[in-house]
Parts: sequence; C-alpha cells; structure tokens
Amino acid sequence: MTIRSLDELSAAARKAADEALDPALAAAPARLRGSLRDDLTAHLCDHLDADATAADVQRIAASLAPEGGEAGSWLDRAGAGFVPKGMLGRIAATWWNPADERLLLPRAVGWGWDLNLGAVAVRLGLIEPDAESVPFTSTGDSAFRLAATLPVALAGATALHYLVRGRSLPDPLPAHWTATGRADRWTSRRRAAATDLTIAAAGAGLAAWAATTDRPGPTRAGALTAATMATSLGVGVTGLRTLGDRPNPLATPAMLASSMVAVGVVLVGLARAGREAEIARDLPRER
Amino acid sequence: MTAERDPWASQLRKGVLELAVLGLLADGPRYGSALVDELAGRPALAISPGTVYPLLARLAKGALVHTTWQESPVGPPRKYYALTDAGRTRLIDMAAAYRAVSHDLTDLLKDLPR
Repeated sequence: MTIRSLDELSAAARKAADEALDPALAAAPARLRGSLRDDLTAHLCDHLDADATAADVQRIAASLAPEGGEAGSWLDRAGAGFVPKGMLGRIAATWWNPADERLLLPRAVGWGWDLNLGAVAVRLGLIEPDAESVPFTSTGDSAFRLAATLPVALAGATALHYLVRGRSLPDPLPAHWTATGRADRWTSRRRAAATDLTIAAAGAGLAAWAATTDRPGPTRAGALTAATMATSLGVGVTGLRTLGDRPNPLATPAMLASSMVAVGVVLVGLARAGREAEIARDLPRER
Repeated sequence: MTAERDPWASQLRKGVLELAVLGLLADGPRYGSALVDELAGRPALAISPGTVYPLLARLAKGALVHTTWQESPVGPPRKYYALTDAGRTRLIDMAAAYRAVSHDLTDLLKDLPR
C-alpha cells in the first residue's frame, strides 16, 4: 500500500528522500520550487510503501532528475564549457562573445550587464560570429604583446601628465562629479596623483603580465580588457581633474565611451589575429 | 498567439535544432550563414543566427563537427562545418529518438483537427 506522506517512511528512507529532492529542486526556477516539491513528494508517495528502504527511495528518486540531468536554460547549456574558469576568462567571455547576438550579457563580475563587444563587432562587419572556434585560443603571442602596448601607453600618458604638469596643477583637484559634470568633491593634488598613478601602474602591470604569460588566451584577453579599461578610465579621470570646477556634462559619457572603444580595439585586434591564425592553419599554401 | 511568437513553439524549435543542423551537415559541409539560410528556408525550423552559432560552437567543442577555413570564390575565406564520425553516430541516434517521439505523438494527436 502506498503512503500519504514521507513521514510514514523509516528515518533512513526519509533521509534518502530529502537528499533526492534537493538536487532535483535545485535545477528548477526558484518560483516553481514550492509546487515542484509538492509534485515530486506526491510522486514518491505514489511509488513507495511504508516498508520502503533507502535503496528503494534512491531507485524511485533516480527518475526525478530533469530530462538530460542538466540545470539551466537551453542557451546556458549551449554555452556550457565555453566560459573559461577564473575571473579574467569570464571577463573575456562576456565582453567578447560574437556567437551571441545579445548586446548585453550578465556581468562577469558583480551584478548588471557587460556590453558584448563581440556582438557589436559582428554588427559592424568587423568579424564573423564563428571566426574563432573558441575566442582567443588561436591568437598568437605577438598579437597579445601588440595589444598590451595600448594600456601601457595609456598608463604612460597618465604618468607623463603628472611628471610634466604635476607641480603646476591646482591644489585641491576634483575627486567626484555630479551627473551634470560639476565637481562636487575635492581631494589634495598629492592624493589625486597617487590614485591616478596607482591605477595606471596596476593597469600597465596587468597588461605586461598578459603580454608575457603562458596562460590560456581567454585569460590573457580578459587581463588586457581589464587593463585597457582601467588605464583608459584613468586617463579620463586625470583629464577631468584638469577641468577644475568647470562643468562639462559630456565629459563623463565621453570618457566612458572612449574607454569602450579602447577595449573594443584591443578585443577586435586579438580576435582578428586568432581568426587569421586559424585560416593560416587551414589554408597554409593558398595564402 | 502565432506559432512564431509562441514560446512553446520556439522551445520546440530549439529542442530539435541540433538534429536539424546535424541533418543538414549529413548532406555535406556547410558554412555558418549557409546553415542559417537553409534553416530560414524552412519556416518551422527558422531560428536566429544568435541561436545557431552557439550551437555550432558546442558541436565543435563536443567533436561532433569539425571546422576548416576554405577559400570562397566571392569573398573572404569561410569557416565550413562537417560531420565527424561521432557526429554521424549522434545524428543516427537522435533521428531514431525523434522518429519514436514523432510516431507516438502523431498517433496521440491523430483525432485532432489540423
């Protein structure tokens, strides 16, 4: 005779039932888990009697897993295996995913969305959606070294700015701006310089590491993405500080846009280098 | 709700997309946009490039297809996809499973008006 509640099972069988339900529920959207738990519990009750052992429960529970046994959406599974492990690899995968036509992808780090520059490049006709089998895995060392020169040059520009103009800059300098571009918080010149130069040095260091490491291509591309974004924003902030208390509502959007362009130039260059490497592999004589 | 906008119909298309792509490749190697165009020529299977290309990447990762760049007579080189032996075996298995589902569903729905 079947049971009406899992409470009618022995302690061991009940424990096995709970252990079986948890992974089956984890694969379902949160809003559905309550009703799904009721349905799955009813299914177990219909197939078990009070004398059921833990092994009986496990045998019935084996049929509870979602079809295919995989969690997440179809598209999640389509992309499974292509998201490299590690933060830098995830950055490259969300900022550059030309096979995915969505312009905004869930952020690699934190909440929100990253701009999928790969989709932008496809729309601009700069590269094919499937130009690389796995982005940046065929890109050669020379391309990474060349790409690293941009963040290093941006960091150098910041350093040069403070080296040449540092002593003639006003003190204090702006440290924060309103949405309309007016400075609303100030900091000492020394602290501003220390902040900007630290960002520049960190970005240049990360770029140098990406240029020389033997880590996988997606990791190196992610490092160059972060380095280019940091150093270009650093140049932008350094420039904004020179405006003093003159409001410029376009300054911040222009700074963000130019940083995106800088990152886009780096990623397009790396991806096209990878594409050329794949073509050279397959068409060594014809070209 | 039209078939094009019905989320269930969309999911159904996505569910059989792998079979459709492998089936097209059984006929010979094709490049990505040719696959998209051939699917678009079959309204029940028409699906966006943004769905097809991640699938192609997954098939390549799973060694069900292999890719090679080939010269194009009308433009830059194109990346062609071709079935591997594993892909052909997978296609046969999927086709058998699909035919079984289709047979049972057709029988189940035979009394419904078309």
